[in-house]
Amino acid sequence: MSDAYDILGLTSDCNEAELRARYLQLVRESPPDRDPERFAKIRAAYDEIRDPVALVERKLFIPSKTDTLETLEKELVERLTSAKFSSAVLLSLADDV
Amino acid sequence: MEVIIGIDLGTTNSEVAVIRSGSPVVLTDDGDPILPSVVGLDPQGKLLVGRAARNQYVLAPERTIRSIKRKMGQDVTVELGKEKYRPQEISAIILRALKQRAERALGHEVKKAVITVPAFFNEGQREATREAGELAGLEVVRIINEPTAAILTYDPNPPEMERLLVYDLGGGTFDVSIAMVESGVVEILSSHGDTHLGGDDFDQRLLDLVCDRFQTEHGIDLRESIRARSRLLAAVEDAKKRLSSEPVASITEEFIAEKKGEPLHLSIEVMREEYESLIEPLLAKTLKCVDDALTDANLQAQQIDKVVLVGGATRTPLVHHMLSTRLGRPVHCEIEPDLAVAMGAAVQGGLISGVEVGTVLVDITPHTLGIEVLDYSDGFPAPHGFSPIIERNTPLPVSKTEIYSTSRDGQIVASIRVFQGEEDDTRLNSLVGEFQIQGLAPVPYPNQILVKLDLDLNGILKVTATERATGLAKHVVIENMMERFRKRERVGALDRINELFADSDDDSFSPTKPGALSIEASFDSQKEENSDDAELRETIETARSLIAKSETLAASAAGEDAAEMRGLVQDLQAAISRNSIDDIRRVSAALEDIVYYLSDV
Repeated sequence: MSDAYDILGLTSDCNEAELRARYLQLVRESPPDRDPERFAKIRAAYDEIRDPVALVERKLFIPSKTDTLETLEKELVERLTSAKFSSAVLLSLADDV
Repeated sequence: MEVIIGIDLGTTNSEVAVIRSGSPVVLTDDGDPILPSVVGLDPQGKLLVGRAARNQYVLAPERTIRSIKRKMGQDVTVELGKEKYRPQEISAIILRALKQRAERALGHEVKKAVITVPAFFNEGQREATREAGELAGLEVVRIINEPTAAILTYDPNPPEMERLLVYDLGGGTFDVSIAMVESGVVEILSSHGDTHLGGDDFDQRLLDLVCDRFQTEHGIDLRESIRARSRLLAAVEDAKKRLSSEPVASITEEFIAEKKGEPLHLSIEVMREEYESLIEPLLAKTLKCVDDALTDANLQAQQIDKVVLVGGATRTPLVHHMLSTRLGRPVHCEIEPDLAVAMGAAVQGGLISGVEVGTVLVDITPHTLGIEVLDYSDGFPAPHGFSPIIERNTPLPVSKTEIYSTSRDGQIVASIRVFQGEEDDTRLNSLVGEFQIQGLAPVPYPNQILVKLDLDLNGILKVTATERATGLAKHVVIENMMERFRKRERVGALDRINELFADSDDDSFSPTKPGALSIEASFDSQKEENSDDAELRETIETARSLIAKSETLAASAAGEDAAEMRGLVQDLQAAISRNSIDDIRRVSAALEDIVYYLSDV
């Protein structure tokens, strides 16, 4: 899990805006045209970090300095307004509660 | 630095552009940026490309080919003169004309090109396009998607992140792509489309309406005569364009047919509402694609910042109306719908050759790739299950691995069949390639096999199958799913194209001397009529329309030409009254030359 963050040169407590800005910067440095292999790695890492299921798991099971229920809840609410979860994901979350 | 030209190889029209002082410029011939995608042979068997070929279509549909793009990737041939050509070869002729245009404009040889294709083209159609480029003497450094190219003409550094929806409705194909543009990076989020839907279909519907009415009135189906059909096609195309700005268009063609020796004229009025009700079902299909693209991009219509229209068919007011209603916002037409794609291709060419244009492009594969598996989802084995490995709308390049296993004890051979498509049943998807991995360990099932797919920016797919326990690997590179020309065929194709170009000085029309009498019987129509009577009738019918056209032209032609034409018209009328088919053809050919020459200038 931390591999993806390493590839992007980010820490696991970065927020959405930091992630996006860093991703765009790296893509400009390694465009698919000029450096396809590096781009593929960057993109895979970016997708992995953005995957909502992986995100919830990570936040639940990997300790970090922002790891309080309040911050987690706040971040989830933030993301829920911007991202669309499939009904299956929402139902599985409800089961855990 | 080597110049890479950008080419929009369209169904109806094609264009070529290059980067000049940092911006894309469309190259013109005599001020005209558009090269109609039409190829033909003149009565002397000389190659015609572009406007000259399109002009001749009405008079000589049997030696003129249009809309070849619709056949790209299919295993078919088209006839032109005495030869048969693959779709790639006809496209190659158009590409070669564009290459020559670029060379004239730039003053030096051009060897490399970026060519655009509809986003929804599959690998086979892309490969056919690549091959056409090679046959035209161009190294195709990249095939890019048309809507993507259009986006590349936009500013990649908007003040805030922008989401664009490109609606690209051309002569024969439809695409919709959604892109996110931010800080110099253009990311394509999703693409949908229909590779057989475009302005040509609008023409066809209008043609059917006109023919049905004529048939009701006169009992004659004009679609059965290749000549009448081609004349009408030109007429309805014109009417279609007028209906974009006028509420009603009249379609008039004289001497379109004959009944009991009496010539019949066609004169029909079409209201815009009538026309719109004809094309509405086609546009409804495009809106379904728009919805699918939004769903795939995980976006709501209101999250789109700009709607960009590309392609000549987006000039139809109904397109604007339906699209702005569906998306709840006005649509944008600030870019030139006919030229944006070629300009974007030039930008991509600049990116590849290292010109600083300040844009990075992240494009996607529009179709899912996977392999065929035994599918147990219904409890019993079904042999044509499709297991996706690279999902559609995945950014390129991409590398993905999935784990599969053998299905019986001691299985030593596994067959890997790669498919492209969205259906659960491989029979409904298209086969990309197949190979076998042999010499597996004879162990009880399940013996795990890793299947890895690498898809690069050029759509070249590498497939690797590895037996997990032993590391036994086999990989193949699949460049296309379609059977490529064998080497000999390819040489033959190149020879045929070279021969055609050798006979013509360049791609522009060089007139034969007006009045030079052609003795070639150039009317060997491919459509065989069963009886001589039918043949004679059609010949006379054609000759009559030629006479009508000549008389109109003679009124405005220079004295010498006019006199020559009048003389030939008299000869032709005499030949018609004698019912001498050979004479009619001979004189028609001569007259046609002049008419054709005069209507071109």
